[in-house]
Amino acid sequence: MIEIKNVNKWFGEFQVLTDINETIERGQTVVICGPSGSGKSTLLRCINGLEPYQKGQILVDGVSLSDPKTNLYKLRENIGMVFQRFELYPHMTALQNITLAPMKVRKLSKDKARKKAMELLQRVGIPDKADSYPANLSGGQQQRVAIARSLAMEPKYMMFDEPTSALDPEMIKEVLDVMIDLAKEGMTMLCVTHEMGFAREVADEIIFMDFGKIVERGTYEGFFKNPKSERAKEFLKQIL
Amino acid sequence: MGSTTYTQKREEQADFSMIFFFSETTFLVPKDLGIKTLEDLNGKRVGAARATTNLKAVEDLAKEGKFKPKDIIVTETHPQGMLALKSGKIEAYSTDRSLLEGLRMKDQNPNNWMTVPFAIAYEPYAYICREGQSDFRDFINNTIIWSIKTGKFFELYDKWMGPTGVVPIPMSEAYNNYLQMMVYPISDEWWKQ
Amino acid sequence: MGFAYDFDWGVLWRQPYGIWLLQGLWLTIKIGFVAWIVAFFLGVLVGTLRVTPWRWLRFISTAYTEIFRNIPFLVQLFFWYYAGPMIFGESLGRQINQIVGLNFYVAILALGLYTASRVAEHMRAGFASISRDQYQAVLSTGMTQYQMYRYVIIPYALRIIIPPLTTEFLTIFKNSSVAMTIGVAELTFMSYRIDAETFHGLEATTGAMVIYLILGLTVVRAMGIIEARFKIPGMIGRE
Repeated sequence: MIEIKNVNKWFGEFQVLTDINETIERGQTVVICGPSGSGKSTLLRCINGLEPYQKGQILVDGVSLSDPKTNLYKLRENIGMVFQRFELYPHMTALQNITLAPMKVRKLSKDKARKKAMELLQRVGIPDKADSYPANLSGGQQQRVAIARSLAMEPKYMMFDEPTSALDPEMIKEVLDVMIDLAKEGMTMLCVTHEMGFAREVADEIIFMDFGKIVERGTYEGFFKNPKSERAKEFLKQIL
Repeated sequence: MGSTTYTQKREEQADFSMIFFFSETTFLVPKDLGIKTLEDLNGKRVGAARATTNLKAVEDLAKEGKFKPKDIIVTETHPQGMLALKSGKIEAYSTDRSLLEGLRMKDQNPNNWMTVPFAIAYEPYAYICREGQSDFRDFINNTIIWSIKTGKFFELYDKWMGPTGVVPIPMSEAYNNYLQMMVYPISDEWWKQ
Repeated sequence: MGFAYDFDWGVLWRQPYGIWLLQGLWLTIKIGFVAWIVAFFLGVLVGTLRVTPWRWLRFISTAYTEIFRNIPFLVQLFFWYYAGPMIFGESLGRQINQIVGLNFYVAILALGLYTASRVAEHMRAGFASISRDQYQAVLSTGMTQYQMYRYVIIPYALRIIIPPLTTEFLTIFKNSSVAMTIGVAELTFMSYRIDAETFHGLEATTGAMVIYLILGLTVVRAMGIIEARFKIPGMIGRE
């Protein structure tokens, strides 16, 4: 369970997050949407400790991130993250990208790590690309490798930061399909995305953020069909 | 007429008087090392400046086996040679005696250093004069002899290169002997003629 | 009208002069190579410390870089050779000054320390060209700062900066000629020595030039092979 309690964050003078409250139960899929600069990506980075926050508290399975005794590295092993621009290691093959953390962090043997990586590549549908370098993969394939890389650490939570917004339209589906499968298998997921199809299929809750605040929250039906706030209406008009 | 280095090439173009001075390639050493002969420098590290005849002289001596330095260290300038000497990189630094004495005098403790009493190479100095005027050359030579004999030469040497002179260069024994030996009989009164 | 200089190219083959040039070349190669190893590893270390989260390590590495790259190499060389041993105090300093071949070792060390500051700067540029998300992606898999740099960021940055590192590697051989001024008998020293002995300085210098050129081209070729071997697929390489 991830508990976000009254979190505030500033970049210097500028407040990027204001009074964020949210609880994500195990097995849930939460979709975060909102205009760019609304603090969605920053919120994700606060949850796995890549960004500090100044006020409030975030607890992951009861462990506070702001507690100086908390081992953030250990904590991040449980929270996978997928980035907009994939961020694969360009000098490593797909397989090497996936096996690196299990071998170095979990001290898995090379054979075991490779076996697991191949399973994951199978799962995301590109086992034949194991020895390809990122530059030789399409955007959709790269993102699927990136998802496999995160899954290789067997995280309890997965966070996605606009995973399809850098993709050509024809590749979006292949990534979303993998995400939908994951959600249906019971993965706890936190997704910054504007993909309505994805939200409709698997989102338990949709959060709408603007100017660093959670403006509105609801189910797919509640939010996309009947937004209450003016901001959300305006936003939906733009993305639909 | 002027004093210059006596060389064979120049001899073809002009005449030279008797040789009356030698610029000596020698060594500056710490006084307490007690260096008296070239052999005393065996096993010592000696230095000289790059692209000088002094360096060549040291290298040639070492090559010929006349002495066996532990190492020959090449410096870029004479002050750096002095620095190498003071910091213990070398035990002896080689260049012309006049330059070494200049380095020694400029040091904070000139008395810590000495130029060794021997030399490893010489450059002979003589007066150069027009070819084929033997009377004039005789006159110069006689003047040199007369000044040595009467002590005038030593007075002048002392004035310029004595311990309190402008560039103190101690007269080595060899040089002194040379001067004494070249004096041929000439009357003290010759100058007055 | 001819030149008032009689060229005698035979001086380059006549012994001992030809051998002198080769001996000089050998020293140049030794100095450049060992100094490069020092510069490479120290430079990578210092460059990496400059971007780590620990403030005092950042301060030390930044100070190192700025001191070493802003003082002319010639001055640094003189400093290490003449003043360097004094840092260790009177008696140890004397012992250091007794070391046979001290100028050779000092030349390697000084050149290594100096070039390391330049390698560190290239490293910093390499790190800066890697996106913030790339760093975060590594950390998000649970890797520590050390593991992140060791396994992903440094190998990645090094591949990015191979071209400027090639230039530094070339420069180290050229800079090694400054070691002449503390009496290291490397290639330039030897060409000057031939000049002093034979008065055929133009031939000796030309010989040294050709040797430097061949050495440089060899380095370029070798680095080209390394670059091809470690090239990041998809990145635009040099032709």
